[in-house]
Amino acid sequence: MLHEISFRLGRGQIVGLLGPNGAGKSTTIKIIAGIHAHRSGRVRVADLPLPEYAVDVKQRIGYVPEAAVLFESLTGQEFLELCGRLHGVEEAALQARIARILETFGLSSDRVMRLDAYSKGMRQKILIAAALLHNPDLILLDEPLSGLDVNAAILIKDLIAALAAEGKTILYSSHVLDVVEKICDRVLIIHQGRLIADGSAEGLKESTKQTTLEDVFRVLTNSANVDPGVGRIVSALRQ
Amino acid sequence: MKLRGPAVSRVLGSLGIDAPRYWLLLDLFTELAERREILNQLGRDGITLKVSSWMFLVVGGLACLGFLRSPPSAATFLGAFTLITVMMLGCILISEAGNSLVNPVEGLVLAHQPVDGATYTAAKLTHLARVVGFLAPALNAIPAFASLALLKRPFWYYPPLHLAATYSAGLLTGFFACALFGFLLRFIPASRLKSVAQIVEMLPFLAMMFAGQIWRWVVLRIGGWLPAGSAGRRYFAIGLPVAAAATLIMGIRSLSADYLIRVSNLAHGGGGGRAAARRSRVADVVARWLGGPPARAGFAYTARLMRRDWAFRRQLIGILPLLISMGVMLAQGGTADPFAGRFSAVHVMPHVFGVALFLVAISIIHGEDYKGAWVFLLAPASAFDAFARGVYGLLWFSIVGVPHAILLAVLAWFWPVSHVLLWLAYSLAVSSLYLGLVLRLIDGIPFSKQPVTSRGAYFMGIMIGGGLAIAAAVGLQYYLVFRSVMLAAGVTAVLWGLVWLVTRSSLEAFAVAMRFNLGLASAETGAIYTEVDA
Repeated sequence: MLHEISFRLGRGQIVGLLGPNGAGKSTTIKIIAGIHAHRSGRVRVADLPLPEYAVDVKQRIGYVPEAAVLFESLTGQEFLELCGRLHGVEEAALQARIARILETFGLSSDRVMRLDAYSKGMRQKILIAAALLHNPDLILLDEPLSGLDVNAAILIKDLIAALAAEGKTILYSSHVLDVVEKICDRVLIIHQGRLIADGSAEGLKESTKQTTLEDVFRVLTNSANVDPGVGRIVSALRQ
Repeated sequence: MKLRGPAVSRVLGSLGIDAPRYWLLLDLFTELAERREILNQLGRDGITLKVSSWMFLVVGGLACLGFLRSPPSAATFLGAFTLITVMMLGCILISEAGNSLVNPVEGLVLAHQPVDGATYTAAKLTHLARVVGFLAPALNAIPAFASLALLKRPFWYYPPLHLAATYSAGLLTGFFACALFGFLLRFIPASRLKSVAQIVEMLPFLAMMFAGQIWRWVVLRIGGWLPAGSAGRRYFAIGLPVAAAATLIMGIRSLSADYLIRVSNLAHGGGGGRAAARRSRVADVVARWLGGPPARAGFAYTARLMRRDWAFRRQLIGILPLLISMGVMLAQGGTADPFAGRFSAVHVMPHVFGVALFLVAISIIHGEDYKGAWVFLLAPASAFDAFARGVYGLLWFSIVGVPHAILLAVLAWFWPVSHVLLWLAYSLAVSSLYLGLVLRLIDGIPFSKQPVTSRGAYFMGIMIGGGLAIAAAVGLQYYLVFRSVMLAAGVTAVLWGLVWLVTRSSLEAFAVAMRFNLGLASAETGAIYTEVDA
C-alpha cells in the first residue's frame, strides 16, 4: 500500500528508487507502467493521465519487470519481434534494432534458441532489449542488473547513462546502493509505502550527515541497528 | 476480400479493435498452442484438435444410432444435437476459457504492452471460435448428412442448416463461457478468483450428472411460474433470449476493460497472500512414527501444496462430482446395512476411495511451481524413504482416514455397531490397498513436474482395466463376502495382510522413483559396486 507519494520525473533524468523489501518500489513502477490500478491519487506520464490513457502510456514506456516472465517456447528473436510489433515498430527498423542489440548483448548466436533454454542473465538481457526496442521516452527498470555478469552489468550501466544523455527519463529501482549512487542524478527512498527522501545522493548524504548512500539508507529506514538481529540469527542456529 | 487487408481492418477498427495487434495476438496464440506452451489454455494444438475432432466424429455417429428405431422430426433431431453440442463443448470450453482468461503468466508478459482489452479479448474469442470450428462440425458432420436418411420428412437444405445451427450453438457456448469469466474477473477479488474459477469449471460436469433433476426442476417449477396463456409465454420466449444476449454482451465487455491488469494482479494476489501458521498434531504423529523430520517434511509439504497448488486443484475437479454423487447416493438409501442382502451404494463406496486415490496419484506429481523442486536435490538421498512415508501418511489420513471416521459417526446411527466396525475395517483395508497400489503411479517428488494434458491415453488402459477389476470386486463383495459376518471378517484380515505387503514394497518403489527422477540415483550407483584392492 502506498501513501502520499508524490514526485515528478524530468526529461533526461536518471532517478534511483530505493527502499527495503516490501516498501512499495515495484508497486510504484507498476502503477507508472499502467499495469497496476491505483485507488486514489493521480498519475500522469507525458501529460497523459492513467489509467484512462494506459495504452498510449504503454506505447511510450519501456519496462523491465522484476521477474523475468516470458513465453518460454518462443525464441529470443521471436519474443523481441513480438514486443516490437506490438509497439508498432516498422519491420525493417525492428529487425535492424534486434540484430544490433542482440549482437551487443552477445546473444546473436543464441537468438534462435527457445527462451526456456536461456540462462537467467540471458533472459534478463532479452527483457532489457524488449524494453528498448521501440525507443521509449520513459524507461522503468526494476532490478535490471539481476543475474547479469560483470561485463553485461557495466554495459547496461553505460547504456543507461547514454540513454539519459539522449533525453530519455529513467526510473531505476534497485537494492544495489553503490550502483544507484554511481549512476543516478536523483534518489527516491520509499519506506512502508511512503516517500521519505527525495534528492541527489550528495544532498541526502549532506542532510543526514552520512558519508555513504548505504548509511543514509540505514538511518532513514531505521535499519541502522542490524547487529542485534544478526546476533539473534546466530544464537538461533546454535540452539 | 483479403482476410488481413484494409477492408477487414476497417471493420475491426469500427468495433474498437486494433487490427495489427489483433492479428499479432492471434498469431501468437496459435504459435504458443502449436508449441504446446499454453496447452489447455485454448491451446489445443493442431494434432490434439484433429484427434479430438475424430473422437467427436465417432460420438456424433454413435448418437445417430439412437434415432434408427423411430424417425424424428427435423426440429427434434436438430434440438437433440444442439443440446449434445452445447453439453459436450460446454465441458471443454468453460474449462478452456477459465485457463485462458484467468492466466496470470500471459497477463504478466502482455500487461505492459500497448494492447487494449477489446483487442486482446477479440483475439481470445477468435481463438476460441477456431476450437469450436474444429469440434462442432466434427460432432455434427455425420448427423447432418445422415439426416437425409433418418428424418421423417428430409429436405435438401437440412445438412447445411444443421451444421450452421450447431456451430452457432457451440460458438454461443464459448462466448457464454467467456462472459461468465468476464463477470468473475469484474466482481470477484483477485485473491478468490482462482478458487471461484475452479468451482465454475466443475459446473458442466455437475449439470451433466444431475441433468434429469435439473430438467424436472426447470419444467415443473419454472414452467409453473410462467404466466398462463400463449401471449405471456410468447413474451417470455422473446425476453429470455434478449436477457441472455444482454448478459453475454455485458460479460464480454467486462473482459474488455482493464482485463490484462486484473489478470496480472492475480500473480500477486492469487493465493490471498497469507496462510494460517498452525502446527499440525497429525504431522507430529507422522514425524514420531513414520521417520522424523523428513517424514514430517513429506506430510506438510504435500498437504500444503495439495491445498494451494492451482494446477493440482484443477486436475481434481473431476473427483468432486464423483464424491458429490456418492454423497447423494448415500443420502438416497445408500445407508442400507451391507449384510442386509440387497445391493446399495455402500458396496461401491470403498472403490470410490480407490478411484479418488488413483486420480490424486496421477495428478499429484504435477504442480504449478514445479521449478521449486530443485530444493530436493540438496536433501540427502537417505531422507527420501521417510519423506515417502510422510506423503503416504498424508494421503492415508486425508483421503482414507478422515472420511472413514466421518462414515463411522454417520453409519453408527443406522447399523448395528458390529456391522459398522466390520464394514469400516473392510473398507479401510480396501482403500489402503488401493493407496498401496496407486503409490506406484507417483513417479517422482509430488508437485515437481510441469503439468501436461496429454496423459489421458497413457492412463486409459489402467482406467479400463481398473474399472473392470472394480466391477468384479463389487460383485464378489456383494454375492460372496457380505453374506456372512465370519467370511467378511476373514477376508478383511487377509486384505490387511495384503495391505502390509503391498504398501511396504510400494513405499520403497516410491522413494526410489523420487530419487531417480531427481537424478540422485546416478549419484548412488557407487554403492552398487565395491572397489576391490588389488
